[in-house]
Amino acid sequence: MGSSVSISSPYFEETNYSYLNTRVRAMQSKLYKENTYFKLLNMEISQIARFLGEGNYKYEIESLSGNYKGVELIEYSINYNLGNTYNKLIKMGGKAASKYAFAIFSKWDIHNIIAVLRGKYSNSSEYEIEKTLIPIGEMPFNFIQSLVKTSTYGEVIKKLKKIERFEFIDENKEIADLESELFKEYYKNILEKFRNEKKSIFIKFIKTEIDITNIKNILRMKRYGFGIEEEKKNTIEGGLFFNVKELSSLLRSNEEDFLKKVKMTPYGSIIEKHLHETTLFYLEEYLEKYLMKCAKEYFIGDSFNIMPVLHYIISKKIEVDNLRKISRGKASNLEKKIIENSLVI
Amino acid sequence: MEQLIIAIVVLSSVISVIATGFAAAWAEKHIGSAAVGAITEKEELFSKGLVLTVIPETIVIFGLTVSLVLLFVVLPQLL
Repeated sequence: MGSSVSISSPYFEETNYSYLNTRVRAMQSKLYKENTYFKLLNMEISQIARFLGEGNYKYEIESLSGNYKGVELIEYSINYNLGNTYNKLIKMGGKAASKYAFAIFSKWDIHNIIAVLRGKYSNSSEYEIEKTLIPIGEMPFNFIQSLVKTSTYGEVIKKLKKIERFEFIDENKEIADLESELFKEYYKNILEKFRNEKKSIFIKFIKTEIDITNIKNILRMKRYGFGIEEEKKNTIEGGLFFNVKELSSLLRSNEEDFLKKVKMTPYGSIIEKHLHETTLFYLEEYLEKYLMKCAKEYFIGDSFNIMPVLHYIISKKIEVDNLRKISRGKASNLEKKIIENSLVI
Repeated sequence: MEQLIIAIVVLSSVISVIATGFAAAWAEKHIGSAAVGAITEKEELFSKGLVLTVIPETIVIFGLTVSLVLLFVVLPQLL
């Protein structure tokens, strides 16, 4: 289930936008609406699994129900469904759509690689590591699975270094540093790949994402302290409103100046509202929500470009994230209001 | 001069069929593929898709009507 495809797959034909976008819009219409989430919030875990099994997640729930139960079943099913849906998009998308889709999906490569590295580093079992993987990405998923089966952390890195885009990985570095390097490299690659489309909406989205990641890191560093090394590691070049130099000045400014500068951006109101809370959790959560809402707004376009596909990719991710939040929240007996607030609707 | 006008009328009749034929084909190509895309995901859209796909046929019917008018109404008056 959920095997990835590689970018060199031979079936990429020219994109037929009329076909692709109408099909994607039909798929979009099947996504869960706001009232469904409220319905799910009132259900038990087993009821949620049954509900998903009767709807869009039927195939995954049926195939996995023999091996998993409860939250695990939901978690695996939604992950595999996301993988299957995205792979379907790539297959039907043609050349142009695949270019953008792969650019977005390669983020899951990073997610999967980090999950494997963390798992191997902490000597977790193969089963535990596999649980955190999502079968999406530019790299074939069976390669990621082969990394899970690799015996040690060092060997995983050796295998990764054989791939050109991961040659820079240094096994002597700490995992957190590797993680930020991988993400930095990911954004660098995307901006490089789409350097001729500087004003495109897709790049605007990527730049907003970089900004949000940078701001989250700046807020963490401001709260828990930082050194020059940390600053270098945790700031990514290419944001929409802040470049590395401006981030450095943000990091060193007092709260008043910081808020003044941040308020000039659309994230200002969110930061101002949650900055003084004891934990940064909600602030980060709301910034993430903002990013998803932005993406949905950005990617509304006419039928003869890639926008409807990007809109669907984001909407599907939001749906899966919402379902994950509901099932995990229910499993850990979180209050309904807290789960509801974390949903992107 | 008369012969030139007759030639123009005949040529217009031909162009109206060819041009509207291409226009209908272009429109049907897009509507058809969009309809197939929608039907793949939602089978219940079949009848709606079919109706929408044949709508551009009207363009070629207009072209044919213009062509017939030119050939059987305008042309006999010139001869």
